[in-house]
Amino acid sequence: MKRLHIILVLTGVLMLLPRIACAQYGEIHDTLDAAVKTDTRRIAVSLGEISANLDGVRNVVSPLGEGDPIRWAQSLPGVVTGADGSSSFFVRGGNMGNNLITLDGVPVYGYSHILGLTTIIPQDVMSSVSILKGGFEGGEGNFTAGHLRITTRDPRDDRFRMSAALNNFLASVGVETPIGKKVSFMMSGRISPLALEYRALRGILPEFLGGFDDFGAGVGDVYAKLHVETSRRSRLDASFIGSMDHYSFTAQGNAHEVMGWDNMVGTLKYHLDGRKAYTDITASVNRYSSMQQQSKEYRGEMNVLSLKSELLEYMLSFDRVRSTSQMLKVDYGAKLRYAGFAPGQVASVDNSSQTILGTGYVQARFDLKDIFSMRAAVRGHYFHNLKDDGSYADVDASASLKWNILRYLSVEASFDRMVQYYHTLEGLPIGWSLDMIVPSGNKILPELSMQGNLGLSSQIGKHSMSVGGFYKKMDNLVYYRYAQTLFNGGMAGWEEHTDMGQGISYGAELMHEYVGRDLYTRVAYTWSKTNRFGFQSVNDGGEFNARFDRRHVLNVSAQWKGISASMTLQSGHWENGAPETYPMHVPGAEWVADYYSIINNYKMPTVFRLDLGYAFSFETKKVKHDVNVGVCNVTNHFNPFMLYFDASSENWKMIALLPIFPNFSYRISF
Amino acid sequence: MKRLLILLFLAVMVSSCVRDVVLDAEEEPRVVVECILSDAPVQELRLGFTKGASESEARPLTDAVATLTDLTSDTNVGCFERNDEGIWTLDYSAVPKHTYRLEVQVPGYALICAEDTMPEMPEVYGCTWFPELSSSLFPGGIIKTPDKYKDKLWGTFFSIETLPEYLLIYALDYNPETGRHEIAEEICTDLESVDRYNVTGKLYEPYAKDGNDDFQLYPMLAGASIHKRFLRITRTSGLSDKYCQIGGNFSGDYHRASSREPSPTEGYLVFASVSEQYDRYLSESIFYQQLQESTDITTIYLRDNIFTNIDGGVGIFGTRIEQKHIWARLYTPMDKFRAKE
Repeated sequence: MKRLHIILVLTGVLMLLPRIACAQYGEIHDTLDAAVKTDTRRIAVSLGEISANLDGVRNVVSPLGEGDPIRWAQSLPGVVTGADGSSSFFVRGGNMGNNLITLDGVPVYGYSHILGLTTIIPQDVMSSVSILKGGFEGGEGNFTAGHLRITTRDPRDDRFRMSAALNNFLASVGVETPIGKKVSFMMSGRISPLALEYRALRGILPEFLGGFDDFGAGVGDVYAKLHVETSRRSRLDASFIGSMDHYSFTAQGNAHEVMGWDNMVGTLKYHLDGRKAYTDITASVNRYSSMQQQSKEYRGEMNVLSLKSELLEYMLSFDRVRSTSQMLKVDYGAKLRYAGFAPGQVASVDNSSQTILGTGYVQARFDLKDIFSMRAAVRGHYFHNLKDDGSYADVDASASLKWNILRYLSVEASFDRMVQYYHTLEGLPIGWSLDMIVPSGNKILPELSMQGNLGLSSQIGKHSMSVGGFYKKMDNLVYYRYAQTLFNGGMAGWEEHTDMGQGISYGAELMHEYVGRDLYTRVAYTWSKTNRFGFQSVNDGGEFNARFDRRHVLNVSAQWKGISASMTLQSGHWENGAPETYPMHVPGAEWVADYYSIINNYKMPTVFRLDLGYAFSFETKKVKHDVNVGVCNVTNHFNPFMLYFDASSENWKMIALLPIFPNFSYRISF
Repeated sequence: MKRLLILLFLAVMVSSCVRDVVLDAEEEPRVVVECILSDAPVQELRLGFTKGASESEARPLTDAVATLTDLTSDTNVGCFERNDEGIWTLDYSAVPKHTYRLEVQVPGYALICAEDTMPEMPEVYGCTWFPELSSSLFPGGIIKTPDKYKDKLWGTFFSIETLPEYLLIYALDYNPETGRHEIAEEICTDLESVDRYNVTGKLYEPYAKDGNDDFQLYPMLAGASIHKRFLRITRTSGLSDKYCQIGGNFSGDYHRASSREPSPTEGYLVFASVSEQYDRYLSESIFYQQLQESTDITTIYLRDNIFTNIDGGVGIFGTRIEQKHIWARLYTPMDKFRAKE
C-alpha cells in the first residue's frame, strides 16, 4: 500500500514538475558537462564484458530524463530486468544478490535510489561503466553472477567549474576546482524535492491525494573526491559517497509506513606507476543499513511489522599489474575484508556476527595482437565467521580467450568458477523491499557458480554483432523459507530457517549495433531458461521457476541526431500464485482448505515499454544548457512493478510504477 | 480547462497504476480424496478436484474407480459406489489394527493411493454424578467416585481407562435449524496433559443458570484454558489423571443416558481414537483454520499445505474409532459447592 501511495505521489509530481521546478529552482545558475549525444556511442563489446563511456550511459531513456548505469545494463544481452521500473537486474540466471556493484573497486551494497528509479552514484562523476557476465578478472571475487563496474573520473584541474541539473526527481549541484598545482577536488550533491513537490501537489490537487494523509521523503546523496598528485608517478585519491533514502507516509485506514536505506563508502586509493608495472593500494570503509516498518490495520487489529539490517565492512587491498613482455602481463594481489553483519534486527533480537575474508589472486594475460588473446586467473579465499567459527577455504578460477579466426570474425570462450560468502536472502515476503545480507557460516555454505560461455563476434564496417550461448550451474543458493515468522522473532534463528538449493541457467545472447554518422541502433536479445531445485522445504526439492526467469528479453534502441527511442519487450516474471482450494470435512464442520502447488507458479504479464526522448543543447554567453525531454512508456502499457496485499479488501493488487509520463532533465554548466 | 485536462490525465494514469489481480496459476486441478475409515457399517469417500482461484466452483469428479484393500488380511474389500449426493460409499466395517490401502483411478491422472492403519478402540466411561449419591454408576458396575470430585461435582465426569495413541474429544451440538450436528466451538477440561496447540487464550468462566450466580455450570473448571473445537491427548504426553470433566459452550439438548445411543436430536460428546496420519491432518487443519480467521497480517505470507498422505492427490485417507458419550447440563448450587471447598 505504501508503494502505491508513493507511486501515486510520484506520478502526480511528474505531471506538475515543470511548474514546480520553475518556481523552486528557476534561479540556479551553474555548470557541469552536459549530457551530449555524440557519435562515439559504440560500446566496447565482448561476449562476457560490455563497456560504455558516460555518453553511452546517458543516452538510455529513463524516468529521470537521462540514463544511469543500471538502466544501461538492463538493456544489454544476458541481463534480465527485475520488476519494470526497478533497479534490480539479474545476470545469466543468478539472483540479484549474486551481482557485485563496485565504485572504483569498492562494493556498493545499497545502490538503489528513489525507490529504484536510479542509482546513488551521480552521473557527473562517472568515467566509464562496464558489466561483466563471464571471464571475470582475477581481482574480482565474492560474487557469482555479474559485476557492474563503475569508475569515476579525476577532478579536472584547469579551472573552477560549476554545474547544476534538475530532472523529474532530483536537483543536483556540482563543483570542481584545482587546489594548488597538485591537488584537485570535486564534489557533487543531489537532493530530491519529493516532499516539497508533494506539498505543492497537495495544495494544487488535494483530491488527487484522497487516500493519502501524509508523505515525507528525505532523499539525497553526496559525492566528494580529492585527487593529489603525490609525485610524477604516483597519486592519492580520497573519495566519499553517502546516500540516504527515507520515506514515510500515512494512509487513510490507519496504515503507516516507514522505510529507508543509507550508504556510506569512504575510500583511500594510492596509485604508483612503474616502468613496466603499476600498483594500487586501496583502503575503504563501507556501511549499508536499511529499515522498513509497516503499521497496518487488519481485521480490526493493528499489526506492526518491522525489520532493520546493517552491514559494515572494512577492506584493504593491494593490486599490481606487471608487463613481463609485450605479449604477457601478470597481475597479482590480495584483499582483506572484515565485516560486521546485523541482519533482520527485530525488537531485541541480536543477529550480529563478524566475518573475515581474505583473498589472494594471480592472473596472466597473453595478447598476440589482432590474432589471439587469453586471460587466466586463480583466486584463493579464506573465510571465517567469528560468531559460529564456520571456516571455508576455496579456490576459484576464471579464464577467457578470443581468437580472430578471420579478419572480421572472432571466436570467444570463457569459463568461471566463482564463490560468494555474502548472501542476499531470497524468499522474503512479497511487498518487502529490504535486502537482507547475511554471511556464510556453519549452516550457510558459500554459494558457488560454474559457467561456460562460447560465441562469435564480428565487426564489419558500421556493423558489429555478437552471438553466443552460456550454461551456468549454481549451488548453495540461499532461500528464507519461513516468511511469516520473519516478523515474530523468527529472525533470531534465521540460519535455522534458511534452505539451500541449486539452479541451472542456460541461454543464448545476441547483440547487433549499427553506428552511422547520424543514426545509431542497437538490438539486444536474450533467450534463456533458469530454474531452481533442491530446496527441501520447497516442493520437496523439486524444480521450480526462478522468479525472474524471463524467457525472452528484447531491447531495441535507436538514436538519430537528438532523437532517442528505446523499446523493451520481456516475458513476464514469476510470482507466487494464489492457492487452489478444496473442501475438507472435519467432524462436525466443513471448511475450505488452501493448496499451494509450488512457488513462482504465476506468470506476470509481458512487459512492453516504448520510450522516446529528445535532447538539445544551446549556449548563452559562457553557460551551456542541455535539455532532455521525453516520454516514458508512450503506449501506457501496464507493466506491473510489484504486488501488494490490500488489507482492507483482502485482495492482491498489481501496481505499475511507470505508466505513460513525461521525463525532463535540464543541465547548465560553466 | 487546463486544470480539467490535468485532472483527466491524472485520472487515466492513476487508474492505470493499480489493478486487481487474481493470481490464478491455472494449473491442472489436483484430485481431492477424503476417506476416514471407521468401525461404522458404511464407509464414505469424497472425491473432487481442487478449485482454481478464478473459478467459481470446482469441476465435479464423477468418473472414478475407488477400491479398498485390507493389507493385513490381504483381501480386496470392495469398490466404492457413488450415490446421488456425490458421496462414494462401501458397506464395510473396518477392523481395529488392520492396515488398509485405498486406490483411486481417475481418467487422465496417474494412480492415486494411500495407506493407513486402524487405531485401537478407546476405553472411556462417562458418569453423571450427584453428591447426594454415595457412588456413581458406570456401565461396568458400581465404582467409587474419585476424591477430587467427591461432594463437589454436579455433572458428568469421565474415566479414561485405556488411552489410545491419539485421542480426540469434541462435542457435537444438535442444531434444529439445520437438522444437523455441528461441532461446539469451545471446549475445555481439567486434564493437565491435554495438548495446548489450539488454546484460544480464553479461560472458562462457569455459566450461571438463568443469570443467577447461585447456580453455575461446572464451577470446578473455572480458569481452565478454552480450546478451539478439540481436546487432544496423546499417549506420549500421557494422562495426568484418568478422571476428567469436560465443559464448553455446548448448546441444545444433550444425551444423558449412558444406557442407550443418543437420539438423532441430541448432542453428545465424542471420544475418538485416530490414526497418527489422521491426527496430523486434523491438527494442521485446525491450526491453519485458526490462522485464516486470525487478525495477524503475517498469515498472508503463509504457503504451507495441510498434511496429506494421498500419493498423487491431496486430502486424507485416515482411520478412527469413536465412542459417543453423555454430558449433563447440571448447575451446581454454589452455596453447597463453597461449603465443601
